[in-house]
Amino acid sequence: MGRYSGRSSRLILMCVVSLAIFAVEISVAYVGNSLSLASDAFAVLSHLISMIIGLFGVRFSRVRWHKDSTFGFSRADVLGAFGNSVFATALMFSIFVEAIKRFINPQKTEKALLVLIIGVSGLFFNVLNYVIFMECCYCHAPPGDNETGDSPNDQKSPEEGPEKKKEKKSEALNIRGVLLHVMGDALGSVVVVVTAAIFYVRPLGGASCNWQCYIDPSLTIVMVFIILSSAFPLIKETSTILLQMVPKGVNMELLTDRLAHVPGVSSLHEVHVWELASGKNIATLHVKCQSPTDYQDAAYKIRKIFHEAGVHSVTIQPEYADHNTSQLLCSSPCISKACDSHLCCSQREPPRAKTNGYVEKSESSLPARLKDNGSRKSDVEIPMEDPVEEESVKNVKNCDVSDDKSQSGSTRF
Amino acid sequence: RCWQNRRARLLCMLALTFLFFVVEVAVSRVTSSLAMLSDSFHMLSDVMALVVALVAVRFAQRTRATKKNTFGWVRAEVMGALVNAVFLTALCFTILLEAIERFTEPHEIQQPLVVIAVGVAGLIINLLGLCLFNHHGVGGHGHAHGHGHSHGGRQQHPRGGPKPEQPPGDGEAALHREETSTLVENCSSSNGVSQEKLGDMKDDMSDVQVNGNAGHYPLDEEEVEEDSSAQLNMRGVFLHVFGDALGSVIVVVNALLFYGLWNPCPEDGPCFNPCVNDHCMENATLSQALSRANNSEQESITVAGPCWLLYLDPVLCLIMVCILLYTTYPLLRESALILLQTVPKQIDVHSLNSKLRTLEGVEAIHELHIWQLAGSRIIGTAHIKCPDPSTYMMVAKRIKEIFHDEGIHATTIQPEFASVGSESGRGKCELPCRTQCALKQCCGAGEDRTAKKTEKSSSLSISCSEVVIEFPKTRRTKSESIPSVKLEANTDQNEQFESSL
Repeated sequence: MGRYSGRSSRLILMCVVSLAIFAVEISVAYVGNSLSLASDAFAVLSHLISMIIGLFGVRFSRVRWHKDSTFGFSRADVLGAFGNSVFATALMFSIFVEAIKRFINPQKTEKALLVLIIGVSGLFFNVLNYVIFMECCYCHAPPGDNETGDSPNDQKSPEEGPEKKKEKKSEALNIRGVLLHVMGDALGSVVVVVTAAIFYVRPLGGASCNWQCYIDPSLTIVMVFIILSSAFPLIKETSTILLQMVPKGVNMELLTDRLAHVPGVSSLHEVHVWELASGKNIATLHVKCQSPTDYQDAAYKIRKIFHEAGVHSVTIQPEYADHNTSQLLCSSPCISKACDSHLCCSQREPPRAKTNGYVEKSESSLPARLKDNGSRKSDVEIPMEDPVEEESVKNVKNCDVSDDKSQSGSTRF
Repeated sequence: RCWQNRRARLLCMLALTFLFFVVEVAVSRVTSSLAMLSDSFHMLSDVMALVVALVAVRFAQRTRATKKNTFGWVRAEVMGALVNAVFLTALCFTILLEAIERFTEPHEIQQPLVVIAVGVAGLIINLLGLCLFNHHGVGGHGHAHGHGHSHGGRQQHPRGGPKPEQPPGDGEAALHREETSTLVENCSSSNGVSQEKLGDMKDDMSDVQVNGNAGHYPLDEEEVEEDSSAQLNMRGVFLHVFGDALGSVIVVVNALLFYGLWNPCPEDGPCFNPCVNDHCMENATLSQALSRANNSEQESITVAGPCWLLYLDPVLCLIMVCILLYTTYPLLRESALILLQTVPKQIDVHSLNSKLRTLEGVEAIHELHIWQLAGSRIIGTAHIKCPDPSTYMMVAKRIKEIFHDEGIHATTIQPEFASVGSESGRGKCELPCRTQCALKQCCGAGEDRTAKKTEKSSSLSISCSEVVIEFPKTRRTKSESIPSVKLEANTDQNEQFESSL
């Protein structure tokens, strides 16, 4: 059964164990009328929810293709990690609020012995969870469906080695999300144990609260800060991917520079590089070439450059430019101007394009050239024929004329 | 004018809510009511939701490509919506926890009058917030009808919310504004005009015709587009405010009933409170036993109650949690689907695929990817296999038209020519990436296995096709071209097997 790797079955096991613990704790809390036990039970429940999110992430991300998603659901991991970390942040916020309330209204811990016992057992289970996770998810190589241990690493070529690690790293994002919760739980148990121990050793009896009552909230606040400090980097990492940002290892300026210097490429625009999920980078770009043969030669070299940059899925759109078209702007955006607002990057704005030999900074490009967008008439490939645009295109010619002047006259930086 | 601006609305609500939070904390200290303190923290969570939405809106206005993000930050609003939805879910969870606590340890409300007053004030603020964010509210319709009614769409005040946000250049950076205003000079585009003045926009309508780009439609579609991606964000905020409003309603109702019906224990005198089960219970039973012994005292014992009032609060909270979860789930789902790079639901990949394949000049299609950046910005990429470059030129426009009809306007089409041998028919990832990079390709690893399963695939390149290629066609191609050309394997069924969870 290729679906169940060691990882997801362990996650399922832990889910079941947590569910059992939750059921036991809540019933004991009801019978024994203990508030702290009830809240601990709910901590276990939140842990369960986070593991379910993690599990979904793992299971979904193995889907490579689905009719609803051409990329498969490989992003589910990342989304699961993001969801888990936001959830953890929100929970920490509410715990913080509880701690503040305790500061204002300090309470003693009653029945210290019972709480101590529960706290210790909770801690034990949390550590067990943590160990299970670490063992299952960091020690073997879980390359998707492989149940065997480290054999993939031996079989493939050395270049595969770092890739295996990268895959591990990508799943690690999701696991990190769950680990956040495990850690939160464990730290919470530590706080409970410490407080209960203090109250057991030095019981307050009927006296009013002294410094002992303030230990619980202060330790809780420390715990909140610890968890938040590990949640935020995870949030940052996952949002880098989710926001379609350029992946960390890729330097856009360097890359576009090298691409622009490939012989046969007159200019490039609409260069997009993004990360689907950890390690899988995707790029699309439009290149302007003089002729199809130019394109063929350039295409190979372009891919090579991307490969060296770590981007392996590249889609290149060739555009064959006449000399009077702008080198910078897309010769074939969508078929009509009306779609401009739907383009991923509006053609109205100065594009971040590069021409061969010189860099074109978007802010410094002539605004007048923007109106060149209308000058699709000269486009070889995709003539604009939208009937609505007829009159606007004619009007645009004014811009075109001025544009040509500017183009011929400018030495282009 | 304030109400038209999304950001301004968020800021107004933020200020109001924060003020109210401070007031509530002060009141709770004065009356030392713990319940009010926890309610005030619900307001604080509201504030945080508003902050998240505000940050998302500010980010999303930068639609230009930057060094760090080649797509601009348009997706920020979808992320903001997701964060708010998850936050709301976590909040529901903690409210659930509190409600269960109340079940096991019911509390009386102290000073119900004060609670009523503060609750009503909170309710008013929340209702105001609901009105502010209302037409971005639960429904998902927005300005879809704004298309084509440029004037009409602009003049409608209450719906004018997102409009000022439209022009990508109208961001915070003065640089943007500068550039777009030079646009105005050159080609009278209404782009650069600050959209906050509706009057100006009307003037620019005539000028707008000049520039093909900024014709009627694009600005309207910008309305639509901004609206639908901003809508998600606003829906998140709306749900938060809605949840808060429900909370205030519960507080007020509870306090009113309490004030009306509760029979409190007087400060002095024996009192038997059957509802609260604590250590005092033993004392209470003791005193009750004592008092029963003495008949004359029995009448003077007041019994606090009715008990069901104490359980009203948790029950109402439970109902509220259910309502909130039910309304949050669609928002969560929608934003998650966008972030997962799924195909937008109005597009059918299979039919698009077949439409493209039936074009003459197109032999095969692979690596067809459609995904939604945010709002109505849908992006597509495809690799089209054609016999030679001239056929491709003829067919290119048709291809773009087909995409356009589906609503996909930003496309990158890669032609591959079977007659040119060097690309070995796939071109998807050339030699450097062919075998070693399998795992790193967007569709690499999965297909690797499935490719091995199909007899037709050669061992060399990686099959990454999601699309069934008609075999007769490819066989013809195969005979023409160099033997190293690889057949796109029919991996469709295999993948579907894998994809069924």
